[in-house]
Formats: sequence, structure tokens, C-alpha cells
Amino acid sequence: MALYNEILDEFRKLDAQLLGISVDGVWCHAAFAEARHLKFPLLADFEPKGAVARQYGVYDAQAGISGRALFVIDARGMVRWSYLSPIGVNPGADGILEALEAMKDAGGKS
Amino acid sequence: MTLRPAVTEHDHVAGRADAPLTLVEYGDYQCPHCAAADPVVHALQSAFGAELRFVFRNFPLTEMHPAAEPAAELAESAALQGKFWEAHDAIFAWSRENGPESLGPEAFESIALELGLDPQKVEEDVRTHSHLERIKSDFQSGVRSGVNGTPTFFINGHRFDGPPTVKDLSAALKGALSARHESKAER
Repeated sequence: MALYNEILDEFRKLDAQLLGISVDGVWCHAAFAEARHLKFPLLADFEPKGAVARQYGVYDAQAGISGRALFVIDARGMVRWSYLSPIGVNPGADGILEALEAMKDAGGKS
Repeated sequence: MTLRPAVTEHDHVAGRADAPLTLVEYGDYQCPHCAAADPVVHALQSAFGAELRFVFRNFPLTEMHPAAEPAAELAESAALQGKFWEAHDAIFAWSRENGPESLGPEAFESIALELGLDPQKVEEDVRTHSHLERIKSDFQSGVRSGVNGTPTFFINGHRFDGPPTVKDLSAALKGALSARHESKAER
């Protein structure tokens, strides 16, 4: 999150909006965003818990949390790229940026 | 996760250009884990000697660590005065002794004085952001290389995902060294 928070301009340049989502509640998110100075929205997949994560196929029912997953969604709501990272490994930003650039290149040509 | 761009003459490099091992660190001067990793790097340098080349690239997480970028600017200013590694070590040592939150203009001034840097030049470089472009380009290269937190290490161009301890990094470096020997033998 700290890493993504640093490169919001890059996402913006690629016409992308960053959203964070987890099964934590709104007040928890507010405290986290304030502590880390996050400048992008956090969504609460809290009630019914994990409903969104389930739809994306990344809900870990045993741990009761969402997997550490990335999704790049286009303007029509189609998932164009995704990546599921091991829970202990931060997936970084390189894959997201490459996916967004590929989409922009393809869009420019058509 | 591959390092890009590869190490160039513009990087801060300690060690021989023909060393078989290159360890690249992306670090943030106000990050406590990076301060803790500095003695680890020194221990690796002693253990591997001429076989290891160490490179440091800036990766300041500015929203979380407000002093990280000015500290990097101090180190870059010191580089122009021929004292990059001295400043690099001094900033991390300061952070370990006084806490990373104590980094700021006063700390920078005493570090500059301690290292015999021209404090006015340092202050001016930090204030006018003379070296910000270089720091940002380091940061960009890190993002593109898959840096996922600080410190992130790369061994011969590949991201090291283990804990940044002497034991784990040594094992990975030894592995890279024998992989290199094997590929040489095949040729």
C-alpha cells in the first residue's frame, strides 16, 4: 500500500484509478488510511463479509480474509490482468504498470 | 523479478566492476529495516571481499517517511564531495542510534559537519532539490524491477525474497556464485 501510494501519479497517467479492498470495516480502513497517509480509496468488503473477494475467486474462507490479489479492470468492467501473490509477499507494482501500458498501447492503435 | 536497468557507471558502486557477485539494494534512509540492514551489508562485504560488488539505489517512501527524500539528497550531495558511502553509513548509523524519526535538518547538519562536508553546499542541495531527478529515477527503476518494500535486494539481477539477514543473504550469494561457476564450466 505504501508503494502504491507513492506512484498514484503513474496510475493516473495511465488513466487508472487505484482502489484497495479488504474484509475490514470502514472505521478500520479510516484509521489505517490516516496512519499511512493513503491518498486513494479503501473499500470495505465487510458485510456480507468477503462477498466481493468470493466473486473474484480470492476469498480465503479458512482465514476469513481476502487473498493478496491484484486485478486490472477496464472501462467496460472486464478483468484484463490479475495476479495472486503468496500472502507473505508484497506483489510490487511492475505487473500492474505493464498491464496498464499494454492496454493503453492497444487502445491507441484501434 | 529482474533488475532494470542493470548497474551502470551512474550508480553508487562499492567494489570491483568485474566482481562475480553484484548485490543491489533499494533503500529508504528513514526506514528502520534499511538502517538495520546496513551492518548486514558490511558483514557481507567483509565475508565476500573482492567477489562482491555492492550498489545502492534510492527508494524513499515519502508519504510514510518525510525525511527519506531529504536524507537521500544529503547523501547525493555528499557523493559530489566524494563521500557518498560515508554519508550513507552515517545516516543509517544516526537512525539506529537516535531513531529514524529524529532525521531532519539538524541531524543532517551534524552529519555534514562530522563528515567534513561543506554544510552550506549540503543545505543548498537539499533545499533546491539539485539531486531529486536522480533519486526519482532510482525510484522508478525500483518500481519497474519489482521492488515491493524497503529494503529490497537483488543478487546478480534477481530479486531476493528472503529475510535480509547475514545468514540468508550469504546463502543466496553463495548459491549465485556456484551457479555462475557451473554455467562457466558448461561453456
